[in-house]
Amino acid sequence: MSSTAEPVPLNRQTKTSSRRRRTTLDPSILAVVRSAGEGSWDSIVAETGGGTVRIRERRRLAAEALEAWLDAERAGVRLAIVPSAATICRMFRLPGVAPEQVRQALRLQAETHLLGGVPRHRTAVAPLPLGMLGPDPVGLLLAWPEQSHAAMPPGHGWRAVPEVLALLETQPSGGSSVEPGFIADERDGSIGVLLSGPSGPLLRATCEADEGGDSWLATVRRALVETAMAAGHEATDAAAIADRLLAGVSARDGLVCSGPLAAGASSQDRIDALLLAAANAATGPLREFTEILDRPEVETRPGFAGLVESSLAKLSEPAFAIRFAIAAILVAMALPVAAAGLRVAILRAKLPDPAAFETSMQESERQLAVYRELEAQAWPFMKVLGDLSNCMPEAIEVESIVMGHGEPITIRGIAKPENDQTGADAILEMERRMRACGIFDKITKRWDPPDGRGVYEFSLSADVARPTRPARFSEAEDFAVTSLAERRYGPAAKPATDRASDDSTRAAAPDAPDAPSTTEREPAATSRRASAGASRAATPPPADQDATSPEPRDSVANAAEEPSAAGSGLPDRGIGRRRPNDDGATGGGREVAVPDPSTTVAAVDFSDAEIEAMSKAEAQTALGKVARARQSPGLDDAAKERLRTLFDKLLRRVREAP
Amino acid sequence: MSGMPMTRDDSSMAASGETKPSLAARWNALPARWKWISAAAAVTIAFIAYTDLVWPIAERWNTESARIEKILDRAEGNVAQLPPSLEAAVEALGPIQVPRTEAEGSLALAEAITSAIGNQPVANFSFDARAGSRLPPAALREIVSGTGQRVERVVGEVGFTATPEQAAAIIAELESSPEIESISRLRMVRSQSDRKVDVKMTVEAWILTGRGRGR
Repeated sequence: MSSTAEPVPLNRQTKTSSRRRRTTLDPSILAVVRSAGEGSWDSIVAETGGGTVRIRERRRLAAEALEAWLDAERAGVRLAIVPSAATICRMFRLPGVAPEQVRQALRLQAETHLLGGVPRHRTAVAPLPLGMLGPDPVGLLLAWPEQSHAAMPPGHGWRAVPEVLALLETQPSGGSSVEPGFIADERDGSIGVLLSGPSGPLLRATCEADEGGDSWLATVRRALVETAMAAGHEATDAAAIADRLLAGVSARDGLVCSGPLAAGASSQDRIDALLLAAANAATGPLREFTEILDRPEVETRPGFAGLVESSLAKLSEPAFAIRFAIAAILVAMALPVAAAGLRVAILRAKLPDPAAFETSMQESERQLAVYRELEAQAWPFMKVLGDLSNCMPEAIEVESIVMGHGEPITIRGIAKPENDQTGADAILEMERRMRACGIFDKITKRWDPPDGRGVYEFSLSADVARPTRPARFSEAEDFAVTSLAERRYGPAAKPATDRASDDSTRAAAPDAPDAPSTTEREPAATSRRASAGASRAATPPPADQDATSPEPRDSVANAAEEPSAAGSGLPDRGIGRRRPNDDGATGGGREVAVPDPSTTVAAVDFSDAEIEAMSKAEAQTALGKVARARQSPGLDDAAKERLRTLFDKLLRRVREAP
Repeated sequence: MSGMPMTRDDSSMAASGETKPSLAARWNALPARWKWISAAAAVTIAFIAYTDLVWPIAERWNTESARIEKILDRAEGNVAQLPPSLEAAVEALGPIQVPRTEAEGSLALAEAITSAIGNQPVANFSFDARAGSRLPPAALREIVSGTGQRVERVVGEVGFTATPEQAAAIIAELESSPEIESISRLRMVRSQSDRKVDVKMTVEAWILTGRGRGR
């Protein structure tokens, strides 16, 4: 056998599926396979070139090993023989017109006959080479319907070759008559017959079931007779043709055939002949009939347009379209359920207990309603007292405060001269602060003439315009930030933890041990500030040390040791008492010697043993001394650090001493 | 062009015989009538199963999701609609408790006052509870709407003598007590004899009264 045609390369779908295969496969190496049943395949690999086909190797392989072997053999063209039972075969007598017109007429005939039941990529229609089946031009239609269940080997790039094509391929070249022949396989009831008769040549592919208990050869004979009669032979001639074709065929053979295909003695030889005939058909004039594809060849363009085109091409396959439609229906049914499940899962993750949250939210809404009503019906008295306290200069002493919701707040007290300010100045300063803080409005004040010490008795009335408004005070004016003691005696350097505890201590008297717990119950810092300030606002001049916190108490105690300021009209208590270094500035006329820092530190340099031996009262006294020493000017860093350490130890002793 | 004799039998396009006929092959072998009947039965069964078994689950999930979303939207709306002045009021007024019944409110008021006073060593303590005025009819409509109830006040008159710090602590504790809605009046007078203040104040708790309760 010989061929002049070039091998058809592996189709594009295969090329795009694997870069490795595209670079290693050889289009001149051709593989032909035929199902051997039970998942195995009879295969040959042949080399094409120079117009010849030479079998390089033949194997029977399992499906899993087939592709690997063909890859190893670099087979670039892969053909699979489709049994006659799975193909449609029609022959048409052609008119003597131009070749192009013949092809158009053939395509029309094919469409008319198939009625769109077989897609174009599974159809091969072309005129047969002139003279192959006699002198008259003949056209051939071969179709491989999707409903047929002839399996393709695994992998891409396979082209189907109808089995009956081997009968045409083995026709003697240049012959004026048709060499009859048949191929029959008992496994699938497949029978392909090529005969010629008075009506012309006839190529038939059919599937014959074993009916009535006849043997397979009897079934084949019946098909041959029918075909011969269809070709125009008389019944007796038809029987004779059938008998002649079946002469020498053994009933034990699986694949039976006649003519050149039956040259070999064994069934395997006939299979090899069949595979070789298919290979020759793929490289010869019948190549057009070996380009039937399982799936349409799609030329994929890059980008979105290519994706759309390939999708549309895929959807044009009826089987895929049906599967796609079923999948779409299933998705349409499952998607709402899945979306609902996903939605509720997300929401459950965000809100694990909706009922509890709703109950809590309803309670919050009820509380907000109460707050709205309270905003109109009530004042935060402690906050207002705290704000009022921060508005009071230190020269103001309050005698009484009267507050009522919706009524003006009334304050009575005295204002004393302090530093270079008169009592009236203090009242005016208080009024200024009250206006500035934004809480109070319509402030009216009245005072009597000062007494001999310059002390004014005054009364002040103001509307509480915005009781809940957070007031802004400078740190110097805010008693929650800068206590009275700190204003008087300067800031105490303490560790942060001690400072926090001291703040709460300042907010309540030493004899009110539960005051810190009260502070903790307050909801916001404002309340703590209010409590601290309000305590100061309502604090009358302390009569003894018990009313002050540890630090101020000691300061007061130490202040009492100094010469009385009564002569200057100042109270003999902590409030209103000035720091030693303020004396000159205020014009008090009292000269204060600035102590030597080393002397100051040495005077209060208590040892740890001495501190441990101190009673509570002794520790308080020592604490006062150290606090006063820390206010001394000119202390270097080492002295400050030493005094701070002493202060901390004494403060701890005051707390711990029985 | 004329057709050649047709000998191909289309009905013979059956399974190749290489493998056992698949479900699809058997389906293809069915008569058209039985195909339609089978398809209709399968569709009907699938539809009933879907609508009766699967879809109710989705509906239940959707209902639950809608409920959770409604709650979250409502909570978000509450936060978004909270005016800054009310935030300041919440901060200033401290925790409160939604009005209780009359008996509960009176008892809670007395307990809150005695608890606050009991924590401090005060002198001249006095306490007198009495019924107060009603709140305006529009007050707390969100709470009483549809219940036939009204909001009224229970008033406690409290007096004591203490140091300023103790007085401040008591006032702060009373005001921060959830059982006490507000202090409506306060009078603090410095004692001339010692370092103490005389305090008199009026505290209020709000209670819910039943429909038609007269006074």
